[in-house]
Amino acid sequence: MKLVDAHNLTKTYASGTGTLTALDAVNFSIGAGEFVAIMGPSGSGKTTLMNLVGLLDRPSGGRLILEGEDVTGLSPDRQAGVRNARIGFIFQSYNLLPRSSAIENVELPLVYAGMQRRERRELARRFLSIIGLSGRMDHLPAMLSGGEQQRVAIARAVVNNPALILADEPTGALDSTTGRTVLAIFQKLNTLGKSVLMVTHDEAVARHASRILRIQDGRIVSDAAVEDRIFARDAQREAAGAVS
Amino acid sequence: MNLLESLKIALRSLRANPVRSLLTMLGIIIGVASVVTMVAVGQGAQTQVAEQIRTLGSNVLMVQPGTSRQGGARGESGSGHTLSESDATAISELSLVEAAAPSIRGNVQIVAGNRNWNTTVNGTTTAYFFIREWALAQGRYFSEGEEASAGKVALIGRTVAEQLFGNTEAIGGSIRILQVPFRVIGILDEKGPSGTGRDQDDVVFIPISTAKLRLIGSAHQTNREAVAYILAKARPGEGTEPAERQIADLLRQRHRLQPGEEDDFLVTNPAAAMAAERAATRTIAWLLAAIASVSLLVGGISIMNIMLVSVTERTREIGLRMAVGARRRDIRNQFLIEALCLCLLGGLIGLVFGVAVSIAIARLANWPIFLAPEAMLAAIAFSGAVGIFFGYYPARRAAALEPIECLRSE
Repeated sequence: MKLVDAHNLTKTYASGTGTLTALDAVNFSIGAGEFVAIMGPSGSGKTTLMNLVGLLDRPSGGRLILEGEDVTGLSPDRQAGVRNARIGFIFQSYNLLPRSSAIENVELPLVYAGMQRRERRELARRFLSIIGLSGRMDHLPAMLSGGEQQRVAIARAVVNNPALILADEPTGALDSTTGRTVLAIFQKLNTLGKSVLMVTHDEAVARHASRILRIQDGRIVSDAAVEDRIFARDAQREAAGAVS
Repeated sequence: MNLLESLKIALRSLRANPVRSLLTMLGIIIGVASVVTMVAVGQGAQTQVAEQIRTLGSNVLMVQPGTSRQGGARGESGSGHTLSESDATAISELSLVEAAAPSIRGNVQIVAGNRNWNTTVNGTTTAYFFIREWALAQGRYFSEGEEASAGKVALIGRTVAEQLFGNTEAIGGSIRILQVPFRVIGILDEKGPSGTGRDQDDVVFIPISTAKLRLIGSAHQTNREAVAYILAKARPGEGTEPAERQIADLLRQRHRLQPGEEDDFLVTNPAAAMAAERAATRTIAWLLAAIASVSLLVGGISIMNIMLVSVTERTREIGLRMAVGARRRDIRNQFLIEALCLCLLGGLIGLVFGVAVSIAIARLANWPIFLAPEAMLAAIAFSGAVGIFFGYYPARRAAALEPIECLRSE
C-alpha cells in the first residue's frame, strides 16, 4: 500500500477571463519511507500540489488516497484529524506562534490531539532536546535564530508521530550552512522511517532527496530517482575537514 | 482542546494588547458599573421607603384641620382650628376605625439638670402609641388617671433621652418643660428618620390634658378644644378608603357643613403617599437601568468589532492551528472564550467600580444604598451573555475560514 496516491489530481482557479489550471490531472504516488523533492519554476503548481496532499486545500477534481483511505471528500473536522495525526507541516516562514514559547509551539499538535498536559510537555521536551534546543525551551520565537526557529518547527511537525512530513521551501529563509543542518535532520528522519515530501526550487537542496518530481505548467514532466544524492551529514563533515 | 487551554490562550492574547483590551471593555465596564450603582441606589431608596412606611404604623390615617380663612386669604393647610378632642372621640367610635388619638404640639426648650434641648412636645393619648405601633424601650405609657388628671409625666424619644440623660438613668428623672417639672415614665423604641428625613425619635410625649392646661393653652386662647391633628387607625380589611369616607362623613355632619360647602378638614393616608413616591423612584430607576443597558449594548458591539479585527489580524495563526489539527469548533471556542473573557473581566471591573461609586454616593450624598448580591451576580452573568452573543459572529467567521486562505494571508 502506498502512503500517498494521487489520481488525476486537478486544481483550477476562477480568474477574470476564465479558469486558470494550477494542477492538471496529476498522477503520482509516494511509498512509505521515501524522501521526495518536488521541483519546478514558480507558478508551476508545486506548492498547490503540496497543499492538496496536506489537506490544506481541496482539489477541483481527482482523488487523493492516504494510506489506503480516500480523504478527498472528508468533512473539514475529519480532515483536521488527518492533518493532526498523520501529517507534519514545515513552512518556509516557520509559522511559529509568536506569543508562545518554543515548547508550547511544539506541544500544539498534541493539544489538539487531546493529550494531557503533563504527558505532552514531556514529549515536547524530549523532541526539543533531540533537535538540540533543550536550553531554549522557554524562549519566544523572536528570541531564536532562523535556524533554531525552523528546528522548533520541525519538532512540532514530528511530535505527534506522523507518517508523512510536508516541507514547503524549508531552507528558503536560511543561510546555506543552517539549511544543510535542516536537510540533515530530514535525512535522519527519513532513515528513521518517515516519508518526506519537500518542495524546493533549488537543485542542490533537491538532491538531498531520494527522488525528484519535476512539475511544469501543472503537469509532472519527470519523475526519477536521484543518482548522485547528497548526504548532508557527509557534506558538513567534508566542509569541516576542508576548513581545518 | 480543553477549556483551561482555551482560557490560557485567550488571556494571553488579551495581555498582548492591554490598552486595546481595556478600551474595548470600557463600554461593558461603564454599563455594568451604572447598572450596579442604579440598582444599589434604587433598592436603597425602596428599602428606606418601605422601612418608613413600616415605622409609620399600618392603616394609619391622618386628619388635619382645613385651611383657615381670614377675609379672602387662605392660610396654609392645617392652619385652621376646626378639629377638636371630641371629634377624635367620635372618630374612635366609628365602625371602621380601631382607634383615634388627638394631638397638639409645639416646639419648646426642655431642661434636665444642666442640659437643655429644643424639641417637639406632643400632647396626645395612649391610643397614639397603639396607632403608630410604637413600643416602649423602657418604662410604661400614661395611666388613665394621669390622662384624666393632667399628670405631669412624660414619655421621651431615644434622641431626647440621649441628649438630656446621656448614659445616666432617664426613667424617674425630671425634665422641665416651660419651667414646669415633669417626671419621665418611659423611653420609646427607636423609629429612625421619617419619610421627610425628620428624626422621629426627637420628641417628648405628655398627656393631651396636661399639654392643654400647662403648655399650649395660652397659644390657642380662641379655642381651647382645638387640636393640631387626629391620628386614626382603620380596621384591617379592604384598604383604608372606606374608613376615610366614614371619617369625612362624620366630620361634615359634626361640623354642620352644608352640601356643596368645602370640607374644613383633610383626611390623608401617609403610607399611600409614600408608596406613590416609591413607585415614582422605581420608574426612574428602570429608566436609568434602560440607559445602562444601552451602554452594555454599545459595549457588546465594540467587543464584536474588536474581535473581528482580532480574527483578521490572526488569520495566519488560525491557519497554522488548523494545519496542526484544530477543528472548526476549536477555533470557534477559542475566539468565543476570548470575547467571554473580555466581557467577564469588564463586568468584574465594572462591578468593582459600581460598588465603589455606590459607597461613595452613600457616604457623600448620604443616600441609602442596598448592595444586593443577586443584582451583582446578574450583572456579571449579563456581561457574560453579552460576550457570548456578540462574540459568536466573529468566532464563527474565524472557524469558517479555509486553512489555505489563512496560511496565504500576510
